Amino acid sequence: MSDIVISALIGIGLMAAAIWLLRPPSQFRAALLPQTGGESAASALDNLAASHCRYFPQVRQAFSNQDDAYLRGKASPAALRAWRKARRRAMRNFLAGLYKDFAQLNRTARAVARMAPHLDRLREAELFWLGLRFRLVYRVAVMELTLGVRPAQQVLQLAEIIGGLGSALERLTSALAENSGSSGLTS
Amino acid sequence: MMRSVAASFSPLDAWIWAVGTTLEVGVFTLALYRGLYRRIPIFTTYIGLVVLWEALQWGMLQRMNPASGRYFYFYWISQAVLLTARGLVVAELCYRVVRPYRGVWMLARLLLLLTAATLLVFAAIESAGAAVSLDRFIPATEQGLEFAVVGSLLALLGVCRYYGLALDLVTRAVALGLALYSILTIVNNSMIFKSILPHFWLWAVLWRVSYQGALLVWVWPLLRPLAEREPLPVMASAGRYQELAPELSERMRELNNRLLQFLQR
Repeated sequence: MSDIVISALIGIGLMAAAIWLLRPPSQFRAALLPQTGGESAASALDNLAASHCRYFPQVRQAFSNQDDAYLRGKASPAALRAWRKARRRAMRNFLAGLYKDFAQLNRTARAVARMAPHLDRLREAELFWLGLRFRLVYRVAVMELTLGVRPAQQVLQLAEIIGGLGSALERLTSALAENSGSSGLTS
Repeated sequence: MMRSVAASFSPLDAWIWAVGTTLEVGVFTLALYRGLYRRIPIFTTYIGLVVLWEALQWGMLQRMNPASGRYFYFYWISQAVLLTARGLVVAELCYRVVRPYRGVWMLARLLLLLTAATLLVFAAIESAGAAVSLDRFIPATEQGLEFAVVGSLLALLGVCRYYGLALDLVTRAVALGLALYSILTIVNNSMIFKSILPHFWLWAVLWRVSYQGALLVWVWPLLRPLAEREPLPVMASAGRYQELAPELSERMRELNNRLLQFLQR
């Protein structure tokens, strides 16, 4: 009987994988797919511009240690706890936004590859591995933040690193938009 | 596509046979009517082969005992032909979907060939291990080959997903139907090894119904006219990739290293 259960589980797993791979692309992915209605790819590529990285200076100010030091002397312990909890939640949301920026960078790489007449196998393998590793490590980092293992200051450092991607991403986006105009990135 | 598993049909068997044959003829007729043979000729041929096989099988059953050696060889040789045709349909999907993207195609065909070759070697090893008796050899071989079909299909869908290659409704339906049928065949054949006899009737019904499920998936997009074929994508210059890809990978590598450093602190 256990063989039948195992077979059924394998079947369900394979079918779930097929359905997952066949599901329609999300709105964002759809924007990267070849356009058919004459719409320029440049307009779709505008959506690639990093959105969360841009707000990094404001977020850095909001998460600075000065606020914490100020409140420590003024607010009640309960209010301080509530404030720290809210700040941690906001930080998680900000990191989620930064993760989106990373995902955009990753998808940009695939959009470039899709339209390339020749791909470098090693580079593509590296991009695939980097994307996979980043996702895994990032989830560990977020989990540690949620559990309170990571101090806020270290998360801020991480945000700074990801925030540095903003300018690179915008430059790449302009290059792609320029490319779509000159060599027909649209289909 | 039906398997003759009993000399006499129960009313339920006859009903399932009738529904299956009607669906097969319906899908084939619609495929011809909608001009599907112009887009995916191997798939259309496969459906035609199944209809032909159904007629041949019916004729054979009228004249000979399903338990006879001749029928046995007819059945399994025709199954081998149909399974090969399904493998060719997967290859056709790969060619049709990925080939217009030249760079991705150069990379993906290697990956797809490797996947198919690995799974075929695995199937050969499994078959050799079960060669002690024909009862075990045939399902083991069929199961291994169905695994190769599903594995190649999943590899193709993975490549499409990763690079965001567009799949039209018909291609999606063909892929889903093939996956559904092959996966249910794998599950059925897994059960045959040890405990098929107590559940033989259920096994036979599942076998038939799984193909009818695939037929239902295939008939759905053929009920309306096929969408216009999308024009071929225009490739960007080779220099653009050479220029942008190193920049992108460098950024991602740096980001990964920093993230790891962050975790190690």
